[in-house]
Amino acid sequence: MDSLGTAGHRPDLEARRMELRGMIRLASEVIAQYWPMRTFVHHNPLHSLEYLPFTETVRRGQQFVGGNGYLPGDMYRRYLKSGRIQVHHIEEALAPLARDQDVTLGFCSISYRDVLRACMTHGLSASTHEPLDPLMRREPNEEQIEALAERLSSLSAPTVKERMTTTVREDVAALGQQLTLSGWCDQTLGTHIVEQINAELIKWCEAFLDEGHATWSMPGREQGLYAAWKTLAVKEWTTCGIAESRRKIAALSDHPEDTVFDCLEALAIPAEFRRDYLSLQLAALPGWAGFIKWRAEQDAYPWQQAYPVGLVKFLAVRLWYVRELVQAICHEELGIEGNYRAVSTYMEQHPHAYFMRKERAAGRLPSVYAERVDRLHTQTRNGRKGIATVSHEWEQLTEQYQVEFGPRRERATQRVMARQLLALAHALEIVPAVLMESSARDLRVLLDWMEAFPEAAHGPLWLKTLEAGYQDHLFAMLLRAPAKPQPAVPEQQSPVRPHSQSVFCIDVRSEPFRRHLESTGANDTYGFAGFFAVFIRYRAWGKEHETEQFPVIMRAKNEVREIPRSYLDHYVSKHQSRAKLVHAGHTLLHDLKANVVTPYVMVESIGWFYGLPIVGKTVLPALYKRLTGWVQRLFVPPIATSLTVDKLAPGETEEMLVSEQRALIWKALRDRLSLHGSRVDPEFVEALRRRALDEDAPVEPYLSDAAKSVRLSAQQLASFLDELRGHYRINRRAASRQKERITRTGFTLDEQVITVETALRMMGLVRNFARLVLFCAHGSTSENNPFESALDCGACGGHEGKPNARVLAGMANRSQVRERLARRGIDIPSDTHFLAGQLDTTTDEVQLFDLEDVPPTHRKDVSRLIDDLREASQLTSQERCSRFPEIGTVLPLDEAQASVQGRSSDWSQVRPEWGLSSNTAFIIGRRNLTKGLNLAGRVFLHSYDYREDPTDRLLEVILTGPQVVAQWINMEHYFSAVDNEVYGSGSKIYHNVVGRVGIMSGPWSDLRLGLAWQTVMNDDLPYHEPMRLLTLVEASRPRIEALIARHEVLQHFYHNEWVHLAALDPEDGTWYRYVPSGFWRRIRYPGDT
Amino acid sequence: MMQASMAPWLLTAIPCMGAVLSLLLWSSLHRMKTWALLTVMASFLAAMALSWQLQQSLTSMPFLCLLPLTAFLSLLGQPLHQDNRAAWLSTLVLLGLGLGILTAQDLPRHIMIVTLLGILCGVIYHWNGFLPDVRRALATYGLGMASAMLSLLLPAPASTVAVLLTCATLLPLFPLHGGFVGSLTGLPGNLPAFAAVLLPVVGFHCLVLLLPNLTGAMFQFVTILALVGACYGSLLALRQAWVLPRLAYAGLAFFSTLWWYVAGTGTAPVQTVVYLSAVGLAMSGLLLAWYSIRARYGDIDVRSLGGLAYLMPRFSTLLSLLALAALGMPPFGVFSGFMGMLLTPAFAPSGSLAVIMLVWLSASWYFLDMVHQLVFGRHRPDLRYEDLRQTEFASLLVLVLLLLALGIAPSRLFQSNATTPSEAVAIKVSSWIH
Repeated sequence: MDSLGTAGHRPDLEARRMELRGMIRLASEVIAQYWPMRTFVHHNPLHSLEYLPFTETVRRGQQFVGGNGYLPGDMYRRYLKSGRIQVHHIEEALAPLARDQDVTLGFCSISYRDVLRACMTHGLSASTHEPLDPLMRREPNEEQIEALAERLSSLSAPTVKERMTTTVREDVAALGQQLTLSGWCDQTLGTHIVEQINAELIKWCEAFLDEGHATWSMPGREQGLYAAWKTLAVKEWTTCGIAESRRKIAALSDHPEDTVFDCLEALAIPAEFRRDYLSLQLAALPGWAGFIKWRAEQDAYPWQQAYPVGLVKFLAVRLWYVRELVQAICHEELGIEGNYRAVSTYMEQHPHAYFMRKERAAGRLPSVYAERVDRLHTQTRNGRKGIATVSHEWEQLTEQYQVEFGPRRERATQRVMARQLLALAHALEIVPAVLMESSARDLRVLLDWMEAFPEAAHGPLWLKTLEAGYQDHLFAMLLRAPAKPQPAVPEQQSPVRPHSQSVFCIDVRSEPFRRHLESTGANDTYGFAGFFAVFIRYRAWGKEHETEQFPVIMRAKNEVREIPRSYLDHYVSKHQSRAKLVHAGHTLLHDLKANVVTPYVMVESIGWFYGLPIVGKTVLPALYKRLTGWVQRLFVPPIATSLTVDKLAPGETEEMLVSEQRALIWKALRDRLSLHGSRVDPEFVEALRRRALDEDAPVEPYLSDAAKSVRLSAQQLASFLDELRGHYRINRRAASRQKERITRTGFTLDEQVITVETALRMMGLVRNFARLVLFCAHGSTSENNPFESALDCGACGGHEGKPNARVLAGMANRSQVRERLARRGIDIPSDTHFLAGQLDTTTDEVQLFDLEDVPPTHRKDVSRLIDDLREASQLTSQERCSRFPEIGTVLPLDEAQASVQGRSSDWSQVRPEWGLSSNTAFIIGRRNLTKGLNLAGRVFLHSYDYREDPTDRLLEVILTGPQVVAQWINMEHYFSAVDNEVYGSGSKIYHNVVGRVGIMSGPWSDLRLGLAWQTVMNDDLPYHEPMRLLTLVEASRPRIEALIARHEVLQHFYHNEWVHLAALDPEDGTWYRYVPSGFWRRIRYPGDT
Repeated sequence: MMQASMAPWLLTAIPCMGAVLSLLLWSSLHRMKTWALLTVMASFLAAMALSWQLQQSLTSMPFLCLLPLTAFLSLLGQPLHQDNRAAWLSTLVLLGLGLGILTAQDLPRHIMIVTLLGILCGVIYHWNGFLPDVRRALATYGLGMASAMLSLLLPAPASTVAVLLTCATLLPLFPLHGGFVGSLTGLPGNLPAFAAVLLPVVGFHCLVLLLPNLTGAMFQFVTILALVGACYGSLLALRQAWVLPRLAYAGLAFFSTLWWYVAGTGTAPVQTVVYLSAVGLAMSGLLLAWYSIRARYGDIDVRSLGGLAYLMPRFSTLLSLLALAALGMPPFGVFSGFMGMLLTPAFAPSGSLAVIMLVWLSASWYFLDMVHQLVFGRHRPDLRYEDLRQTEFASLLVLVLLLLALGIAPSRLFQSNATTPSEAVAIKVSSWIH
């Protein structure tokens, strides 16, 4: 049904719908986009709120998603105990809060700052629950607690009535903004509406958003989520027990916006609360909502094109359930309307009943009172007694509760206060007896100070202290570096030419490898974002889909294809047919497994065969992997390929197109008419082609004659031509599309020159080229890992960077490109050869590509590089192994190598690698700043030479590109570590893939966000120490300031404290820290006065 | 050598004397608890020593060991708190009466049953006042006491019916389960854990003695009540949010299964002893586990707790094992007892077995739900967590080991030297069929 009224109302409705869509867009800021797991992209789960200060965003995260933005206080205290956090850093963090106040107890003077420090270091202000009637006393200082509690007896605790008043006031204020009506019902009546609605939404989202995982897909998806839901839900026998659900669903508007609006009206949500209310609804399922948010923005995404979905549709479905269930429950249980006004009025007019029900639902009432509340509630619901009588009974019950439990609660509160004071005395090393002799007023002051500094307020301070400790350590290392920061003096060309120069991704996992490769000989290394400035859409040989090989914040206009080398043409068809056979085998097996009937037979007949992989993968994973790899290579040997780097000239494009069309016609003649080569004249093929493309032109006489010569009637010829146009796609439209695709393929010479120049200048590699320059991308190998792409290159959109490295090396080896570069000041010697390679970050092995293009003169150089890479690989494996908790020692090189290879092929391994965790800093500068330093794989390293960047264009690109990627990775790890349940994805043990888009915990959950527990935690301590990114730039301060002023994203980063910034100013060789207020503060060196 | 007729009085007297003497230690909790434990140990040794001389029914010998053991374990983990003193004292008295009932003959046994029920009524009323559930418990126990007294006065078969009613109040049978439920939910301290074993044991002992006198019609009637009770207990256990009522109704469901078997087959083979002991111990263990939570956090709603797996690992492990044992997973005694019962020649499968299977199915839900709630999920940061203390740990661990022993030990170990009435009853039942 369309709720649009008369034509005169249409503009109003449209305006209202548009306004609603805008509101939903703003409301969705609290949830982050969720990339499908195939292209896992590390990102900040609160990315949309980065325009706010970090602390404020954390608060909003708590409000809407319920996530903690900091580690628990106990965790920080463990860091303090271990020495990771220094006391003097706590003092510094507390300095802005300190007040000049103190309390004198006996001979001791306790300052406000002392109390704050003790609160942090000893967890004094952590809220503790004191049982009313425990039978077990645990504290050894029980007598002191009792005595002090007695001393504090004059300090009263809030009565039940006071608590009731506070509760009502706070809940009325929170309703609509921090508390949904469904949440209110759950916390007041003990219902599970939110859970019920989430389960329904999960059911529908799981079915609708499936991307090929389900054997039977949801029907009607092409209509969009809302319409598809309406079509199917209306057929459900009963929907969540909602009365007349079929009629109600059928009566809903065809426009999801109207349904959202109607629901908000029915729930009477005040206009000023609506945005927050919608945020709360989205945040109830941040995973599915986040994925819908992402998909709605991907217009070109095939699944979105086929089955459109958006947050408006999602909310329309959700709010319908909310409205119906809230109204039904409120009416049945409380006899009131299920809307904002009625619920607020109920809380204000029936505070006793509301308070006791809430206490009951929260499990805070003793069993006797819980039963009495239940009885009274049942009587109220059944309407056995009048409202006035019931109201009086609720009041009586509350009073009895106060009479019976009030004194106990008061005593319990006094015990909590006594325990706090004794802990304070212990922390400040004061004799407890002093407390006994002090006045209650002084003790109250101390308690007030502690109460005013709750544990929740410690987080930002703890974070600063944790960061300060690491930053001090890092700066101390940088100052000890062999190459001290020097003023800007043009560097002379190095007299010694290195054996090789290798460019790795900025990824923190490259750092140990680079360090070890440098240690093996005269091998220079550079860091650069792993897509190597090559923005491409790439289609690998034999694959049907393209991958986007660039950061998700960018776009690409060039396409590159992997094609077999020309000399292998004779082998290609054989290879293809074998590959197809393997593919068909896999498909057959899958279909047999997924069919309704066949599994019964299949299990009996070939089920045992699956025992071999199970045993192999479990008992001897590495051997099994080698064996299966060998069998695969035996059947379908790998084929040497090249990439379509060069763009074809218009003439060449035309020629290629014609050639492809002719080949198709040959095939069609053979397949459809059984006309083989010897009987077909090439001119006949060409005539067919022209005729197929130009349907309107008159039939060439030659074509008719040639057709007759092969015994084709006019009718058969016409039919064959139709088939060529329809089935074989030889028509004008397809030709135009194909031409456009071919035109997008590859790079023009100008584009190649710009790409190579940009890359070399950004990484500072513009002179003193070695004979071999390696562009080393990275990828990973792991088994049974849905988030394998999370281990691949983030700069390549969660894919391996191999194609990018190959493209850049191919471009840089072209003589025309080098000539142009030489004219632009980058003189690449003729004996320099660029190689492409890929580092496997799970096995630490480097694979080199296109070695057949290496000149014979470089054979020895390549051989030496391979040896050095192998040695670096072993050393890296050794270093990595020592970090794994189950190893923990330095293994011999061979063992270390075997160990990491075993991990990568072990399907039960939850940590095939552990490299990206623990990232902390991003250094933009020359390698000389960090060369020789053991940065423990925690630092992103981007090579940058300020002397090659007079206009700051390169630095601008690095700060707004790679730094953003690094910050996303850092924030993903940060939030996953501080609250793994909310911002992370929990334990890998329970993960189940859903819809080929993400994972759920167990069989039924929201799409899990973020990283798994095992990725960021080591047992119960974070392996990834959650700290905000520290960016260190070697560049002059005014230039950086200018860039900050130019880019909003940088202002958000540095002014809102999402990223810390420090600069090594070449003018004076001094490190400066950028403070959020926009100034620079010199970083003190050890020994500075 | 002491005469056999003196044994019941001696077994009753030792714990009762211990209880009287413990009054002298009223002011010192530690000493009083130690004294109670020593008394129970003395009772255990006395029971062991005297049991060889007694020619009792098949149930007496294992139960004579089981009662002091359960009393000891329920006392062992008790925190030293003044509210618990009355419970310790009552435990000793009830233990004495339980041992006496197991060994005494007609009149003394009935008097002791009446006394036992009377004490339970008193404690429940004293502790809870006159709440509806308490009223139901008192009424049921009142009926049990009246029946026990009447059985001495009435001729057969009325006396048989009267004794059967008494048995049904002790070993819970619908609709006379109110006393059992009231005891498990309303008794203080360790008493629910002890009562979970004591009441069914005493009731079952009386039932076994009564079996030869029961008629086919009575068996059929009891079978129907047992099936209704099993379903009713399961449904109510599923509905309960609080731990104690959930365990009490689960107990009703599981003991109804025993009634169903005994009434259906007319026999009480040694496997029933294993089953009864295992169910009683499992319930007792779960009640003790819950009590350790109660001791720490007061009378708290279980739904407000969670995530104890990391914070109280010993507690979580033992609770999980006890729950697995209670819902009948191998290799614990409930499983082997039940399977043993089904595999005896006297048992003939019938449609009613499906109802019993539903009982087990529902048990697997509500027991695991309880464990899941406590062990997993998010923990409350505002609570201070302390894992089981040594004595608590020891008592729960021994309970788990006992359940394991019941599961794997050969059933002949539980066989008494005395003639088993079940064989005679089996013959008698078959003669009715013919």
